[in-house]
Amino acid sequence: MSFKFLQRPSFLHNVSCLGFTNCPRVYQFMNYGRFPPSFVEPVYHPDKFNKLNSEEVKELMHKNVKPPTTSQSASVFHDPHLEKLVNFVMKSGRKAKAREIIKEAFEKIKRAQVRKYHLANDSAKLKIPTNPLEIFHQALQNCKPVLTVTPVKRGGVVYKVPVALDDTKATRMAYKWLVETSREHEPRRNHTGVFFSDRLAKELMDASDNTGKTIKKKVELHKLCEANKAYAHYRWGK
Amino acid sequence: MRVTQVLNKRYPTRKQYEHSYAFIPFQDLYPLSLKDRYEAQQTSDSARPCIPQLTVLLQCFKDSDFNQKRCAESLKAYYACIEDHKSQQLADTKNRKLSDVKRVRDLTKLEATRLLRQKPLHPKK
Repeated sequence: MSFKFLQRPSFLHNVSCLGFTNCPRVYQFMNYGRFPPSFVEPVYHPDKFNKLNSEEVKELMHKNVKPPTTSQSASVFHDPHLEKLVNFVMKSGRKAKAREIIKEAFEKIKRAQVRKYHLANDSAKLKIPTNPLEIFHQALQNCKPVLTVTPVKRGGVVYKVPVALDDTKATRMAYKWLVETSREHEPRRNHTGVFFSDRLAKELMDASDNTGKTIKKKVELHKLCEANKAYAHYRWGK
Repeated sequence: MRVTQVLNKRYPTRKQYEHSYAFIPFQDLYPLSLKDRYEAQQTSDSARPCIPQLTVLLQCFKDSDFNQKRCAESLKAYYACIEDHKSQQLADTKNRKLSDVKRVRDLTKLEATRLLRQKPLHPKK
């Protein structure tokens, strides 16, 4: 038995065994909730802490608080939205690599925008944003869908019913689409010279300008909602 | 003789699975009875809220070629209506007494558990 095999978590052991015979089909799931529900989420950033009322602070003082995770820091450069993007870009747990790629993409955005800035007229210069973080936030805001469809079964037919969205769900969809669209034509055999960071940078710049593939995806979803507006009053299937 | 029919015959997947399982004898680790707790998902028969606002919003989308900026007002109205509906629902469930609820299906999860605790199915002796 090699050392690599020993390092694998126990619940993944049975995943590798895919045959129907000679395979115990019992999956063990780990429980990651180490803290009881009485523990509250930490307010780790000073910007957020300063906004709290005196009453809220008093309440927090007498409660058990979870420790912040490794990605939650009190740094001036910390951005929770950016951390979320890192998690979406990450593949197989390589967070450092994902951070590196996003940094690269932001550098490419900066270069492109500064180039645009210097080529533009004096009056148009003010309208061109050169901060990549600003562009990213604008792109995220523009990619959020307003409506979605949910399946409702009625008489053996599944209808798509347009419904409202939570802010958290909408942002999650925006992140997913941004990364999905920039991953669309990833090179399989021969590298074309266009990296993921290039495509992500282009997608972010396009989305901040309300154009591009991601915005098209959002509009298509809205169109689907519009097409199924006749079923809007359906609630539960029978 | 047609061999393909025999060879390509698909047996139900359940039969294939049964061979893979080792025989596990039944053990009643937990008592086979209902608990004094209600955890099922809530379902209500009431209609979906804010349909008129939604239709206005979708018509606006259609007229403005799905430009979100032009439909800012109708969008705001729709989401304001939904938030109102949610807060109204919360207030309704908070202020009412358990004796006022006529149908069992109208009970919320917490209310049902509270009732079950007051009158447990398996009282302790």
